[in-house]
Amino acid sequence: MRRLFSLKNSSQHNQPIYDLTSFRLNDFLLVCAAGIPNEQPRKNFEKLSEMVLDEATVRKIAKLARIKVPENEVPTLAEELSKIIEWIEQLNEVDTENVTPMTSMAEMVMPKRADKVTDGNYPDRVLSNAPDPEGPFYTVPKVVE
Amino acid sequence: MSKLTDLTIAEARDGLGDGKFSSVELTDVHIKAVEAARDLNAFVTETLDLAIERAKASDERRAKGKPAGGMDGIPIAVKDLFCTEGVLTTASSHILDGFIPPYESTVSQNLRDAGSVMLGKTNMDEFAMGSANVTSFYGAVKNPWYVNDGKDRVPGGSSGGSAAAVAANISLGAAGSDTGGSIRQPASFCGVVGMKPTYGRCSRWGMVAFASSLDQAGPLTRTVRDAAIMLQAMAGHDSKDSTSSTEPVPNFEASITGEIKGLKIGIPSEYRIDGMSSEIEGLWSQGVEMLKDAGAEPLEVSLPHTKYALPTYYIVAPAEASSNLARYDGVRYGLRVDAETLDEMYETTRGEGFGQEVRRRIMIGAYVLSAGYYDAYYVKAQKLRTLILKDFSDAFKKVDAILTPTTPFAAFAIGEKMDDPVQMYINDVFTVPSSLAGLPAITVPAGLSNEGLPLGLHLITKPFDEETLFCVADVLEKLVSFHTKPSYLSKDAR
Repeated sequence: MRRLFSLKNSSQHNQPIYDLTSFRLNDFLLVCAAGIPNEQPRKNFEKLSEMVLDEATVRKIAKLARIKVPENEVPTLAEELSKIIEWIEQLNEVDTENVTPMTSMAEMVMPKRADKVTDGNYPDRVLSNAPDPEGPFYTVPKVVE
Repeated sequence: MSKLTDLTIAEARDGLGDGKFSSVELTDVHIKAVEAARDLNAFVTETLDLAIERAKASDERRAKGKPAGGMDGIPIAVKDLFCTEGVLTTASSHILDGFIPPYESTVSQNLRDAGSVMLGKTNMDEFAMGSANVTSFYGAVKNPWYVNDGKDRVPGGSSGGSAAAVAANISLGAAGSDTGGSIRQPASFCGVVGMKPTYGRCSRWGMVAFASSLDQAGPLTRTVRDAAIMLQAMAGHDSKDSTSSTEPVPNFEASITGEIKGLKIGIPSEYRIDGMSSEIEGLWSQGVEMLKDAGAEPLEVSLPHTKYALPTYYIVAPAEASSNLARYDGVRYGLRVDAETLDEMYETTRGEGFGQEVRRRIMIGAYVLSAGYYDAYYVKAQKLRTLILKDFSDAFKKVDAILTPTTPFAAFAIGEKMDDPVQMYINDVFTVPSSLAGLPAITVPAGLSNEGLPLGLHLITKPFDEETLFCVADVLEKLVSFHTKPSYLSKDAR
């Protein structure tokens, strides 16, 4: 969490990764899972077209996205995703050197509500859709040895 | 056969107001229509008992002289991505199996508060990712328009069930959502009006999120006036959505004056894409001529970055989706596929719960956001988005509205355009740019293809200028005078 907020002011990225207003706590987890850019940013697409998604990369991003992909679907998926990425790369034709990235639909400061408790105290409703609740808890497979 | 199903929302409103029929009577014929049209597969969940209950409440309010709002007693359908309290909400995904929200989305609550009667939750592309309604876990929706070649047409997507329901006279209107064309493209394929308001007009609270910087709710109806009436009920500031606009909501219906003399209508040359069919081009020129005859002034405008809108969209939308859809983990709601470890449970739940197209888009999103590629793809796309928005801002210095075709072709057969995902993406080539720029836009049915399937014309205006949009669209609608009904409605004969 702290790491993400600090990214907002990171010198490497002048713009926030996300419009943080649109996402909830849970969404931060995937940002972490998807990998926070910590390498030197690529300046252009130079090497990308040689490097369309190979099968190893597909396995890697499936892992990052926490999606089980059966091994026999990997080659097709690599081909499909590569096609999409190659098609997307036409954006490289456009010179965007001095363009500010658009990070929000409206030029507005994020509205904030008063720091007061306005909701809650109904664990039954919150848990009403849980696949396998136990008392007032969600359950998951054991995560400690 | 009762003809109450032929009414527009405006006519039904007047009929209810004048006491010509009750909401229970009106709802009852629509319930019969829902039941008779199950072969279209337009609904994931029917809420017929609830509809009768709400229709009775509406009649009681009216009897007391206190109707709730502009849509009191009007039967509508609601896309299955608006969370509805106590009613299954699936976004047409397996991963939301059995999800019964304990809360109501702001838009569906607004529609309830205005008195409307929900007939059911309409089928859609899974998580709104698609343009043909073929990615739904609950099966494809059939377009009520067909020609005599034995092939069922797609209704478009992602709001395919909503568009089919309105076109087949099953509901008087339907709530949809539009991320890159998901209201306008199916409306065009089904020969109805579909409207996406300015980003921020309708609250996104309680809508199953796809791409948060693009998602926007809007109405599908049979006339432009009905779209204005329905948007009135849906729109408004909501403190529960931090991107909800505080702009005052004008009276949309009052903007329909029939007067467009002196308005400047932009015709973007970049929308004459390669391989555009002559029928689309003909329809477009016809639209220009009609608006000119009505006193508007057509002007060529340039939107130079149009061709980059689709690839930009296919970075931004999957990136946001990969984040938004991280919440489906099998822990708190929906499908859980058991496994030994927590990680395996996430992976198997998501692997089984998401369909092919959703998996593809999440993975594209995860890739473009991943270490080393973030600047090359995501930041690049955000920069293109700035340029696309600037194209529109420049054009709107010269014109009041922009006219384009809605889609590059008419509805295709179910099963076509499935081999290559990029081919499917082309469906939204004319609707995506205005989505990226957050602009209000509307499609109006304007003619038939050579084959006999409906085609739409598309208008775009400045942010928060829905008034000009409705006004021009209404004039266009009257001039086009499109009154052909889908083949499905003459099915008694078949």
